Amino acid sequence: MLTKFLRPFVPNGVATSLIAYRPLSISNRFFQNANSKSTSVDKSSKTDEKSLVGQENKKEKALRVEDSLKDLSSIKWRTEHNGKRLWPHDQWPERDLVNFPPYKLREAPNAVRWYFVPESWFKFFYDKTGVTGPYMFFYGLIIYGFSKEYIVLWYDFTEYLILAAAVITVVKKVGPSVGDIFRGWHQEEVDRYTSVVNNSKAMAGKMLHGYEESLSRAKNVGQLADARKDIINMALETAYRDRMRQMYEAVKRRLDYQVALQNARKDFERTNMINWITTEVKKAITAKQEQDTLQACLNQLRQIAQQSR
Amino acid sequence: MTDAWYSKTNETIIPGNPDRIKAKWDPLQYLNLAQYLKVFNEYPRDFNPRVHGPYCPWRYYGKRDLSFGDVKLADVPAWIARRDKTPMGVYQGGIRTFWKFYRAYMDNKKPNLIWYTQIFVVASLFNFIFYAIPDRKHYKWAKYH
Repeated sequence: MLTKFLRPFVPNGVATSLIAYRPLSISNRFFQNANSKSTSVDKSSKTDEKSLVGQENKKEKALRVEDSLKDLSSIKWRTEHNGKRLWPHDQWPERDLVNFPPYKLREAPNAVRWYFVPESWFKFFYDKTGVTGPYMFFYGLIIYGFSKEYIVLWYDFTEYLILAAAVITVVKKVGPSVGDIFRGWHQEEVDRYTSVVNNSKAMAGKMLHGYEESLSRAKNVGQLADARKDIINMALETAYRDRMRQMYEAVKRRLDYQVALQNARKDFERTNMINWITTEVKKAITAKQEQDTLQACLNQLRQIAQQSR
Repeated sequence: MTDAWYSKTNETIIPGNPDRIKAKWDPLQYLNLAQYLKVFNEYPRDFNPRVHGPYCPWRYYGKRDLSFGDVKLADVPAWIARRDKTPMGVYQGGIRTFWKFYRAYMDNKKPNLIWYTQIFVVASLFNFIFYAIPDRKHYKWAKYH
């Protein structure tokens, strides 16, 4: 309460003249109308002026969560900062990521020794006391307690010793398993939430794979039809050629028959004529003609012999 | 204006009108105790989301200063003088301590019961020092040590 009244009006550290603001498209108009309609219509102009003035005052006030939740028109995209153009995805040029890195969930808790002493204490005292410093400190505390009788060695001390030993033994043996079991239950619960999205992604992927397969099958159906058409065309051509061959063979058979018939006729006529002529001639040759031809041949031979000599 | 029990304007009966919705998921939200705790429900003065990003309650957003382990024994009074000793500063320091403890031992992927053990040990020490020792003073074996 005191700080609220003592708080000075500190600007954000940037002169407003250096920054160019660009309001959201129409949502701020909607919110302004919604706020003013419930009261009355006459105040609309007044609320516009008041809102401008109020926004300037709001810049100087301290940051409050309710301000951003109640009126989203207070959000404005900046278009320029220190002469550099700012884009909607790059609205935070002053963000210090070196000294104030973004939040990251830690993997494991801080290490401890003896289940309650943090390791940072051991590191802190290492330079002064070495490794055994904190151990000596706690042993010294216990011995101081015995010495000054802050820890009274009465008859129940045995129970406490045995209890400590038993607890430490049980925790050392059973602790990690119990921790794993609990973490497993927790991880199962978390998986029940996260598996929904992952399973729908996987199902979507499988369905897309099926769609792609059916599309490729649809494409290949054309090839199959073309193949079947080719087969049928080849069968048709085979039948056509076979029939052409049959036709050719039939015609050739008939023509060959006619040719063979004529040849046979001619052959018979020739042989018959030759045999008849030769037999008639041989019959007609008398003995005198035969002697004459012989003498003529001999004379020719004598002449040839005389010439060749 | 006509938001009486017998007559309503159109804006009031539009579903999703946040001014009309009085129900909340959580009873604590419904009670809206934040309006009474506004003094404690503010960000620190030095927090600027444009520079620091989302708010981390375990961080100190003021001027960087030495931690208690690094300060020399001679400078301890000066260091204490620099600290914010107002009630609000003390309260914020306590909140930061709690969040540091939470982040060290509970806000991770493999939590264990060391935090419970530490609280148990501290509570046991407190009980031992302030209640058990006085109770056992009658059972001491010697009067002077």
